[in-house]
Amino acid sequence: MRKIKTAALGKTAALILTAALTAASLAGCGSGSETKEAGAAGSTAAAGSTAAAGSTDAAAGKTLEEKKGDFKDEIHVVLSSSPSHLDIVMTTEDVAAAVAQGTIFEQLVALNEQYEAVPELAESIDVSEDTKEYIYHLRQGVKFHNGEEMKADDVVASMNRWIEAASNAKAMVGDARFEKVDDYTVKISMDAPCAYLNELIAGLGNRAAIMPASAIEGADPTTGIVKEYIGTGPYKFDKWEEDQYIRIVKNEEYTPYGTDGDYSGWAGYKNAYTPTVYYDIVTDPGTVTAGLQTGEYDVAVDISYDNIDMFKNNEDFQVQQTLGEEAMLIFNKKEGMGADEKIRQAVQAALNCDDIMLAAYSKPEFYDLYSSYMFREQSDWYSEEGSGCYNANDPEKTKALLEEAGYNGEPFKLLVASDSQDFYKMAVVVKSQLEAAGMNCELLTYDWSTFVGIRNNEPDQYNAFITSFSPKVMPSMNLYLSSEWAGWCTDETIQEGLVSINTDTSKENAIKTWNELQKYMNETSVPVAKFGSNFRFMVCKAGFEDLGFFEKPIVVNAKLYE
Amino acid sequence: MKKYIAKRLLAVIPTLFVVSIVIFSIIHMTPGDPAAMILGDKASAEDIAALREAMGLNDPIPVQYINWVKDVLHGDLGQSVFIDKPMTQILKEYMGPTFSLTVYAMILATVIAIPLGVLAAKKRGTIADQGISLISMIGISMPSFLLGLILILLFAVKLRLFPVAGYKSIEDVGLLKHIRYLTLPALALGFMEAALIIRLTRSSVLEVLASDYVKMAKSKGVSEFSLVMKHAFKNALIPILTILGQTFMALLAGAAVVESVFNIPGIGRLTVNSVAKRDYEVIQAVVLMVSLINVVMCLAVDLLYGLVDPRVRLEE
Amino acid sequence: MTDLNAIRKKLLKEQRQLLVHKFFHNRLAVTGSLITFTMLFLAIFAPVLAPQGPLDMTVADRLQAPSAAHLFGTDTFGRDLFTRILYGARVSMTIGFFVGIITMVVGMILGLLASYYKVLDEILMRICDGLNAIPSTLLAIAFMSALGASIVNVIVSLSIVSIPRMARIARSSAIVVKAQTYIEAVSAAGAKPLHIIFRHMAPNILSPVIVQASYVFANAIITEAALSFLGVGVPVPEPSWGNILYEGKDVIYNAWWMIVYPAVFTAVTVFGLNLFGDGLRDLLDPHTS
Repeated sequence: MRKIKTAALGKTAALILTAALTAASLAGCGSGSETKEAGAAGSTAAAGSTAAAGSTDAAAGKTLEEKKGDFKDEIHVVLSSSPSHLDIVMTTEDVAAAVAQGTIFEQLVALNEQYEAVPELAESIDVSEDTKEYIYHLRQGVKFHNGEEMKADDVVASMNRWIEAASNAKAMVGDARFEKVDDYTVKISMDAPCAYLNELIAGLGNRAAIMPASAIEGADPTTGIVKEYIGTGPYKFDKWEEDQYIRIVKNEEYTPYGTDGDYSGWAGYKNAYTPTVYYDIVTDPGTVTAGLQTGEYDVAVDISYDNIDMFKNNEDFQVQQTLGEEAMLIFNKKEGMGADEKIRQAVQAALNCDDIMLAAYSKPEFYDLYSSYMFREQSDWYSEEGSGCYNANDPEKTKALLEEAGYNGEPFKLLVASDSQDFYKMAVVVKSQLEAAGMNCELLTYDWSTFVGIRNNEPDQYNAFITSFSPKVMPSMNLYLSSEWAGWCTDETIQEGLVSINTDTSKENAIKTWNELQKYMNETSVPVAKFGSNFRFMVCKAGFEDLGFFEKPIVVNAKLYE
Repeated sequence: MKKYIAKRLLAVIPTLFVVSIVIFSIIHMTPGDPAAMILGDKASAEDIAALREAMGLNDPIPVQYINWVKDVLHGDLGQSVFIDKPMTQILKEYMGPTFSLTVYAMILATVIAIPLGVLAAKKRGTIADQGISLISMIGISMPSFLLGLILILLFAVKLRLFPVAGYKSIEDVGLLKHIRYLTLPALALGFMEAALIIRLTRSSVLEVLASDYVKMAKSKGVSEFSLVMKHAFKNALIPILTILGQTFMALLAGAAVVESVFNIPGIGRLTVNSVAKRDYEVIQAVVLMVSLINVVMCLAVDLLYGLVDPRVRLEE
Repeated sequence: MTDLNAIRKKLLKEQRQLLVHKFFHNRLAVTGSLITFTMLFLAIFAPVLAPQGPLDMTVADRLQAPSAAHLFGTDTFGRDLFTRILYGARVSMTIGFFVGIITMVVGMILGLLASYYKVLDEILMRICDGLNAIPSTLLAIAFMSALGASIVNVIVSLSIVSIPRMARIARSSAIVVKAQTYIEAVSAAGAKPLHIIFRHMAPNILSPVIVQASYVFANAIITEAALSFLGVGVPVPEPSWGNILYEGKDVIYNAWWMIVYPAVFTAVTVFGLNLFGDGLRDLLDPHTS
């Protein structure tokens, strides 16, 4: 799951960059109490602007009519790999969400650019003082693509299915489940306070997509995956040519929520100007770069970092930037060398993060170096505690720590997936740095499936692995701090700290706890060794207007002028 | 003749049996599993374990093999984990592009290579001959993906003559556009085979030209052109036929790489993807089908020998 | 008896001299072997010739164009490309060489056994048919995923893929040899089958087998590159020409040297090996003039 700042469109890349970063650093992340208000405010705004919206609609319709023919009626977005399926409740694949989230499927709440959860299919939300009970008032008259109206039964079925599918959500709500209050109201009551439920719904890797109860019942009994992709969104699933493209087309029945032009992140007014969107599956990055140049593809993300400047210097293209992910080395704390705190500190001390990030991301402008686990742009949680241990590049310290740990020259086994160029580049640099500091290092390179298998099920095979994580709304959502997930962060201080943050109704206290925890993790426990955070880039044709970039290209309002 | 065909057809059975055992064992030796792939990278271990159990991946491997063979004998090739379509339809859809590509590459290779080979033989020792030899050596030495990249840069990005990549079916866009999309991949794929065919044609024609009966014909005043075309070429056809049979196999094999470079949804890419996703039944079905095609091709080529050259006795 | 032996030795010597003479008058063979031996030389003496270690990196100097400091420029890690290509020669040549040798030895043994024992013939040839029916690239990909990426596994996979063909070639030559009268004579004299096979038949099928082995060698280098291209070849950071090319592919627009140099080395080596094979074939095969 990723949550990323997006930039306003139709400006030059430089302007976009500045604007995005300013907005990001000012905005920060909504606190628990603010979110509750935001929810209410959102609904007021929506209700208050109905009349106005009508008139804007008419105006927009007219200009649209005039403009028709100016912009293309189909656009081609590159997908770097083929999703397994589009049931985004059941998968955390980015490519699946890139196609289906917000386009085909919608959620009760969606994230905006400020990382706030704002109502989407919910009209308004009531949250109890102790944050144990959430009541969602649904929008009325919302139609699924199969013609049925969305009602409480569908929402209850969808949300409870999501809780079952997403271990993170399950952990947070415990045994509580959504219940129907009436046809247009659902609620959930939990035993413990749950200040961040809306953030979880809006931003978790398993998307909380709302589907018809009938579609859920008809899901494949073994895999649990739905057979038809029926949502409420502005686009309908149309065709999937295996390994060629996925095509979505405009849902003519769709009525946008809110005011025209009021769109941010994944939330707001969606117009679907472009009737047909192709997601072309192109696995070879060289082909993507060539295809952009010849105009076969209109939009692509994650092209090779070494090619970004080429597009920036070409006026036929726009290049947009958003927050990327934080790359890190996750120690296997279950067994072997990674279970030894001293060894972990030793590895951390040996790292020169400038070189690691430069090798992977080609230019210093393309990444940001800091020690905080939470992103710099999330000002509330961002913490410089314990930053002295980060990016130390201190082989002598490593040698001393290794001696203390009684290191015997055993190779430190670093697991990495060969299909992820960035990670293997990082691994190669880390290996050379560890060896320069007197530590043997062995790279275990496997294809993705094998990598995942070993990472999850064979902790005796490796000491650490490399991967990256998207920004999370709150610390406990970071998978690498989970005691269950690979790496197995079972450190009691950390786990207790995270629980106290999750249940703390005072945000101030929670932040204080997090700062202490961050210091402890950077200086002592070192569950992970962070390298840095990168930026991600989207290259699109210069003729685009209102094409968003928030983790993925946002096509719901995009227009491509010829 | 009939007996021979029957015997050859019977030999297909043990061959396919070996193929099935080989591929089944390899696949199940491979670490990683489809359950993890379905649930995505960041799914928890229990979720994956539960799905594995539900999918029957925990049965003993011989049991899984026997079940699979039974199903295949009943005409059920299995079910893809990721593609929600009957297997026969998947095979049909993915075979289409590969078949087009392979046939096109073969036509290109033959049309270019055989005349060049004959020419080189006729002009033996001249600059033309050496030039052709050099081209064919380069063809043999150049990995197809590299050639593919160069073709893309040159003909698609620089000259904009052909599309960079992708595939359009005949039904969707018509024959001309279909061919336009396949031209660069077919060139990349066919170049190496063309090189082989040039060499083979050249040496076969040379051999025949040196034979007594051609010399005799020449002394009788048969014109050079009809000599080459009628006598030499016809007799050189047999080794050329052999290599054409092999070419089809080689092209099928090479298609995996070229399809990746040019983003063509053919069986090569299907296999590569299915291996990456551990979609076991697809891999098994594809390999079985391609092997069957290969075996049948070989048989067809052998039978053609008999037609082209009655001297070849198939019973041996 | 001694007389006979002396004559035999003399004859053999003359034959060998004739071969050597013919070889050096075969331009193809000479050029091919020159290229091949140059590459082998570079591979063997890489540590002496290379200005740096293959893994030494200065990340800040990444993707520098060729210059006096870096003859072939630097790669994405700021490693010296010239060094990488020399060490890559080691890996690629090792793979090609061992695949060639293993294929030759195993293929020959299988072919000989199949030609001699009828029962084995049926079994072995059916297995070869089976393996042959599976497109080689697909089989190699499947093997690599099963075994995991390493140089040894690349060698194993490529050998398995090329053995069936070699076995067929060895078998068909061996059948011809077996039918010759002197083998029948040796057999009648009471020699053991294994003695006949390896002492008398094997030397006589060597030439087609060696020619084929040189093609297998060349082909292994190309196939390794293709496997690297598909992400299942030699694992990083060990350099092979294939994975250098694979890395170069992503920077083809801004670092031509990452593609051109490894491509030239790969192509020239394969070219050399093929010339060598052709030359050898011309030399050993009485049919071609």
